[in-house]
Amino acid sequence: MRDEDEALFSGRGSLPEDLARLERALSQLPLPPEPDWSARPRAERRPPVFAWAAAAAVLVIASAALLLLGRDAWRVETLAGKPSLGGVAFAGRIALGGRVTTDTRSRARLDVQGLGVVELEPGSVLRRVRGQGPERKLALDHGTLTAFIQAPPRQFVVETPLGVATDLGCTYTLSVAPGGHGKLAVTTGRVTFTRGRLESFVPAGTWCPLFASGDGVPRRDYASDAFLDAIAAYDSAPGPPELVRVLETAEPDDAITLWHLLPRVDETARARVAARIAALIEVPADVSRERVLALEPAALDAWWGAIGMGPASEWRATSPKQALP
Amino acid sequence: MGDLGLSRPSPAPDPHEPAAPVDAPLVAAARRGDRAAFGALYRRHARLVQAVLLSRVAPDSVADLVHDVFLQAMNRLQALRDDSAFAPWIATIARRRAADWRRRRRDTVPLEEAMPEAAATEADPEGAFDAQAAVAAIRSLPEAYRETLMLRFVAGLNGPEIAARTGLTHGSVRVNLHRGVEMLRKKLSEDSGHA
Repeated sequence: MRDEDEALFSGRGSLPEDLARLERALSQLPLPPEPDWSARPRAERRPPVFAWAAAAAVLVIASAALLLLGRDAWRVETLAGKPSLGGVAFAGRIALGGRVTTDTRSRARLDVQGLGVVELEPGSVLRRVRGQGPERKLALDHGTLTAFIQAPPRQFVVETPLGVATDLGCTYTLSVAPGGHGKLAVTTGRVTFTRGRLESFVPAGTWCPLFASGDGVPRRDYASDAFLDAIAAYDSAPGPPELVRVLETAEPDDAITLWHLLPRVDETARARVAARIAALIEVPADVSRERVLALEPAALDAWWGAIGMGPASEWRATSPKQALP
Repeated sequence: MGDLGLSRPSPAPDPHEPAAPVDAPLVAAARRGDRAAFGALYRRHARLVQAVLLSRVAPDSVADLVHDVFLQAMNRLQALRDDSAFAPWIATIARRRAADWRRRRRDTVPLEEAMPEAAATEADPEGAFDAQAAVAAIRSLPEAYRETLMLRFVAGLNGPEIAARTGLTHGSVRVNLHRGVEMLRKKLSEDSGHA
């Protein structure tokens, strides 16, 4: 055995037959073909002093960035699979410019510092972007998120390719599909969704389809099947017959939906919608129908107030003075 | 049918040739852009890299990783301070590349699953089968013995050369070879008993 050990170690002398056979077999393993090294691009040469200076600079910048960004970085927690972080992200957190991506099996939870949490469903891309003033802002490129927010109104904002969701203190689910449509469903509280000059006030218990045109209007979860079918048909083909069906099946609580149609339909249709709203609920006597049909902001706000969901000014996404179209 | 991740034989280097004195001028020339010199380094140390990788990653990934390791080495040659230390340096690159490979595939491809079946060739079917079975048996050993045995039998290095390339003491290499061979014999015996 000592001879065997010595032969193994020194590589000299005879190995036992089994080891000699092993050595022959393994030493004949084929090597991969040698690449054509001349075809490889040459590595860039830099003097070492530059490398050290560059490394030191990177270290200083990275340390400063960590100190500055770390204070305002939002923690990301894995709920399932392997979500990935990108952009300005480090140590399981994202700062401004950071990104969370979930694949088809991944879910993640984002701690929106001081405001609540956002859960990201599979197949989503969520970025952290700069908001205005105290706003905490995210951008949902596509996918689905559920926000659980307890904060003063207008401090948590999510922008999407289809518009901007402004939280007014609530729980909601927001989806954006790659095909240019989506859905906003509010469970508690309320959300304002803005697309250009069009606004949707979405209270708890309602949901709103999102279209690139901004034409989606909120509807109650528990509206009658007939009304939900009618408004769905109108979503798909917004013609006069479909609108008539919507108006005929509407109940008083569906005034929320009809009010949102006013700025989205032509003048002829608007008159029919206004008439139906006036038939369903008690509209303010001191606001003439003509002002509503002219889309005068104060008149529209007054009719919204008659629905019983609070003053329109409380719903405005940006400024209480901003008028509807 | 796998092929241990490798495609065709290349001229075998002489592992017993003193590495450092020959490597230093080759490294210096390669650093100046001499691709023929880098090719010579590849031919001298491909076996070493192959052995390190075989002890750590699925055999069907070894060929690609051998190339990756040498490409990394080519791009980082400026960072090598001691030209005579090319062999331990590239072995370290190979270990890091293997660790990276395992991190990426940990949850998707268990090491054992990627083991190819018998790699018989027309030239030497029995020898090729032995190689495949032996590689599988060595890979089943505890980590401490895998690389030492691969370096000894795949790269053809002797004990002092293994010590120089791994940083182990001569005594540790002796122990690893002795115990590793013991366990390997037992493993191969069990495997042939089950066959």
